[in-house]
Amino acid sequence: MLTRYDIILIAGLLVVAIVGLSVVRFRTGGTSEVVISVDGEEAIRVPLSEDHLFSVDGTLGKTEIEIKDKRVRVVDSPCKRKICVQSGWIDRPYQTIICVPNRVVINLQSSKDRDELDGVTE
Amino acid sequence: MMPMDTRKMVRLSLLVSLATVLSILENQLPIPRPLWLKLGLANIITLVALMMYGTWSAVAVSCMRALLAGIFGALPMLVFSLPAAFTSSLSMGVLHRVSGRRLSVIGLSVAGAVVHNLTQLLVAYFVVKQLNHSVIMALAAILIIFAVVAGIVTGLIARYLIRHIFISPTGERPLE
Repeated sequence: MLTRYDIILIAGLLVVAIVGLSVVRFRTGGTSEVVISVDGEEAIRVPLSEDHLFSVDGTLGKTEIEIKDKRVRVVDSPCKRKICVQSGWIDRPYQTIICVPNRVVINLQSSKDRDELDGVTE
Repeated sequence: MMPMDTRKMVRLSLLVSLATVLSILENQLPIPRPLWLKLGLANIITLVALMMYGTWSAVAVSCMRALLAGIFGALPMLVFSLPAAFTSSLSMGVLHRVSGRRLSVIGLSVAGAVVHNLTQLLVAYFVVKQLNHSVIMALAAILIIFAVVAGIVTGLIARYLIRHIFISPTGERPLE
């Protein structure tokens, strides 16, 4: 039923995926930072360890974001389908909450990422 | 566009409507799941079109389906679904031609599903500019794994369909 080439294709894809995942896992580490961006521009960057309640202005209105107990979530958003609110809490590096209608992106980054930069100009 | 006989046109139209219904139904299924996690049932029909009439018919069916499902469903999602429908059907067609019979419907389905997911990820990368590369890589890996599973399932269904219902108009039985 499966030809030899099917199996080669499927195995190859799985290997690529697993290698990719382990590389990401290897690079993950350090303390986490919450990066909130609006319309592609970074708006807020705070450590995950501080509790906050933010209200961010997106294209549709205010998105309310809560940081508590080293986790982040969207409490309320003006968008229609509320996918960002349904995403719930995120707490691990590289997890992301995205609200496409309101153009708000919440990223958990590892502080390692910033240390890896060669330089920053302002 | 090349001339098309009526029988072929009617059959392709039927396939488009079937695929559209599957696509919309799948989006409305009351099963709790993240919105992006789907089997891609419409791909079954794309595969059938590919086996019956070849690459360009498959591309046409797939893109028409994406358009119609977009119009009757979530229009903004067209940004994601249309490019993905185009690239996945085209890649399945090209692979089918290049590999001869060496890749079965299941292999083609897996390849199509992977291309579909990666295209959507690429679009997401351009729409949402603030994604760092580790996120993209992790997402790509996870999406490939889901695509392989979904591709095998839809491929099996397509194989069953093609074998038991459809025989290509030239009398050829594509899977035997």
